[in-house]
Amino acid sequence: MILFDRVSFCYNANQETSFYLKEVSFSLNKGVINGLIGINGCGKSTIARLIVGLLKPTEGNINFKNDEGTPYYFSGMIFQNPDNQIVGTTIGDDIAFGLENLNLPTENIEQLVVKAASLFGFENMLDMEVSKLSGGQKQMLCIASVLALEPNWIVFDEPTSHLDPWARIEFWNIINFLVTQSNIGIIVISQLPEDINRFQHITVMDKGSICFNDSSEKFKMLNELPKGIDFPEGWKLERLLTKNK
Amino acid sequence: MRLSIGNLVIKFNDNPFLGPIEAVFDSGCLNLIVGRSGCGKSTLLKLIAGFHKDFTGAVSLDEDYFEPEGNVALAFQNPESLFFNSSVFEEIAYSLSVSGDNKDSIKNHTESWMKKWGLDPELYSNKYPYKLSGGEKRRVALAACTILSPKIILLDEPLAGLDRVGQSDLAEIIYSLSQEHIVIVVTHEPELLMQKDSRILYLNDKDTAQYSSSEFLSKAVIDNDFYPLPEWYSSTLRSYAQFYDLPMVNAEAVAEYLESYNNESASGN
Repeated sequence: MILFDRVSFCYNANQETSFYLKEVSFSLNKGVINGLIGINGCGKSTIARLIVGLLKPTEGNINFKNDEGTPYYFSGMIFQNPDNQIVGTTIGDDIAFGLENLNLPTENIEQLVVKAASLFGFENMLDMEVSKLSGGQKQMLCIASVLALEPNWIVFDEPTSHLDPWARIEFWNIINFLVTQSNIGIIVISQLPEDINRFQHITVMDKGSICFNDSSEKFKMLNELPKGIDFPEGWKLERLLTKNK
Repeated sequence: MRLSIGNLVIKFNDNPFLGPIEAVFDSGCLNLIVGRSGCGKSTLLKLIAGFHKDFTGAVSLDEDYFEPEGNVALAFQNPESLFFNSSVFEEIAYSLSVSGDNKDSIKNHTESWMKKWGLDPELYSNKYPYKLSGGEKRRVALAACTILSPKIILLDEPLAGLDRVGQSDLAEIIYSLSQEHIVIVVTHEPELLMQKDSRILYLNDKDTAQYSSSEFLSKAVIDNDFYPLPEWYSSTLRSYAQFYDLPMVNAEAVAEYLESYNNESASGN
């Protein structure tokens, strides 16, 4: 579980472009797909960066509970555009990069690379150049490289926006696999209504505060939606059809 | 206006990559290109714009040989990453300012083009482009790309990465643009842009073809691997797919379709 306890953060204090996260408290659990939504500039990415440790809270604490048993604490992040995240020239190099930075013995690295690669069918393609991969495959490679580090949590920042519709289906299959078959917590940031349809727990942010944090069933029953958020078309259709009956 | 491509084979280093492609793109309706990542969609746009010269076959405009020269604009993906001016006005007016027109005519032309893209000149002219929201930045970038008002406008993934409000605002503008220009859009979200009279060019190494909206929707609803439409749409309409008059991909249109279909079958009984 991730517990935000009165976490505050500010960028560019007292300037025109300043942004504040004000005493935010909420929790997220493993075993469900956690969705984090809100309009541009609401603080989603700040929350994500606080979770993975790219930013430190100015006040308050972020606690990770029941995560004993992992050798070291680590949360990974998958960015929007896979090209910004791939550092290796081959699939094998890219997956090994993070592990090499942890200074693990070579044999361990090789094992962990093969293990992560095999989840995505990359095990026989370790020498393939990353430039030959499709957009969807690049995204999968980024996920494999983060998974190789055995993180406790993974935050995905608008992961589907650069994928074609076939790759989006593959992506959600991977997420469902991780949520049901692994002990990794999953947080997906997205503004796309069709992604909201996949979330099981939804956190909505508005101007640096949390304005909703509950199950997607409860979210679906809201009569008034937070600003700038749209229901998935499928939910709208359900409503229209019940109204017309 | 009609841009036609006939027996077109896209090549790389003289090796055939995709084709032969037969397609027509008209003004007055929206022309979409869909297909998997890496299938050649962006290359086809570059070919029409004259940047990719390795091909065989013909491209013609209203029956004449088509020479891409000043009559076509191509906006790449994420065009806002190329901003290089300090105000929205300068960014959009740039191509005009280097053409040597006088200041007043540049101002009038730019301001009326900004309005077309939903950018009120009074509010936006002096703003710093990088401080705008994602949807606004995209509109500024596309307005700048198309300011010379060419006959043919080619857009590569114009909706990608925008929030829903930004997407629907832009989709509307693109549609209105298609009434006066030949607009060809590469997209992974055809359902957000498609209108009843749109044409969809489906690129694939085996079965490249151009479809009407209704043909495309029926085919995609029957076979999810042909094109994965949103799950709610396919599952609701699968049993209607043989009728070839499927509604557009939004809740209101589908609800209306189901209602009229049910009323018809009730009165038929």
